Amino acid sequence: MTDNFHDEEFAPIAAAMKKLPYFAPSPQFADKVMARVRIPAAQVPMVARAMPVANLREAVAPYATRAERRHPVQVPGEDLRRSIPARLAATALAASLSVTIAAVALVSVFNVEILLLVSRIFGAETVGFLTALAADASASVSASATGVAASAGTATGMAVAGSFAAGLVVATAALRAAASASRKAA
Amino acid sequence: MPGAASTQLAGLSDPAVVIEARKGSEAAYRELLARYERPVFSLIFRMVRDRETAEDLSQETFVKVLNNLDRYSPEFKFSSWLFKIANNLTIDHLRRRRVDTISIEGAPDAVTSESARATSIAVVSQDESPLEELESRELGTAIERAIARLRPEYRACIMLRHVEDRSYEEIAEIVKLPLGTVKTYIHRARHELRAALEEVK
Repeated sequence: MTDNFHDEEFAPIAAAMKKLPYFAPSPQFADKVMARVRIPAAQVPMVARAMPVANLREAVAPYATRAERRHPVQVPGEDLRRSIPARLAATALAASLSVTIAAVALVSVFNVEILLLVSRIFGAETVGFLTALAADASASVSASATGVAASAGTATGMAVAGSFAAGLVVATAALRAAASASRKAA
Repeated sequence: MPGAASTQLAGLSDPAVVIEARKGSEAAYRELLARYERPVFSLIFRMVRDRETAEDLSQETFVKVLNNLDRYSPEFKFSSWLFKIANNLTIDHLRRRRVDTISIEGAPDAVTSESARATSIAVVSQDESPLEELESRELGTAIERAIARLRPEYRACIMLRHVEDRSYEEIAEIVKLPLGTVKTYIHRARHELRAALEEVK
């Protein structure tokens, strides 16, 4: 049994069969099929990874409005870390705050005698040293205050007050500049 | 630009369009539909001879194929895979309904002149004279009626061979039958068609 079996007799029929037209489905056929087809989400090239951090803000806003947002690109977080001195200062501030709060809590809640506690931990000499330091500091502050008060109204008093104010302004400006430089460096 | 996308896709091979579809291009899905909706619908329609049923089965075929494109292996012909699923669904449908032969008068729903014309064959060629065209149309109609009388298995094989111009190997793959069985079916189908057309003569 071969394909050439009765070829001559079947040839006109085969030729006529080749000419049989295609039938068309209804005009909505494609839409009906497409309504039931699950199209996978379009793949998005990972352009954001290669993008410098400075351009990220501009790139992210229009990107979020595109159709591919079903699979948004993972944008790396902005790494704005503080400088080492700033972090040390922040740590020291947090540590001193914690110690102070703990001390206040111990004294107020548990009625702990703070000097007794310090002497137990660090020895009696430490309490003596701290007491002397506090007395010295208060004497120095009161002497300055007395001096300022005594020279109030005089040219010296004005100069002292002015130097305090100028020092305050300069210190604030220096701190702001340092913070700004630290952010830029990050 | 959807128009530009579909023009680009039109030049691609079936496996290349499938790759685009897998990437999520709706235009690629529509391109596959545009390429094969008529051949698939015609094959099924000639098997079941009912427009509504043929449309439902064609829809099932495409939904099944397009939702499983990730399973398609490019080493096989996409059209063979598509015809295989179409044939399986149609044979299953005919078995469920236990329909071996179909009405030679065309579709049961051929109540209007338009649908009656759609179920009867009209073969037109620009090269033919009016007399040849008439003979050709009559032969086409007779062939359609003769095909309708064949067993569904014969019908599928003979149409894939002579309407779709598929090789025996491809047909065996599509209808999931041994090559020898396919050859036998086509031989018997030809014999029955010739006999039916002798009667017409």
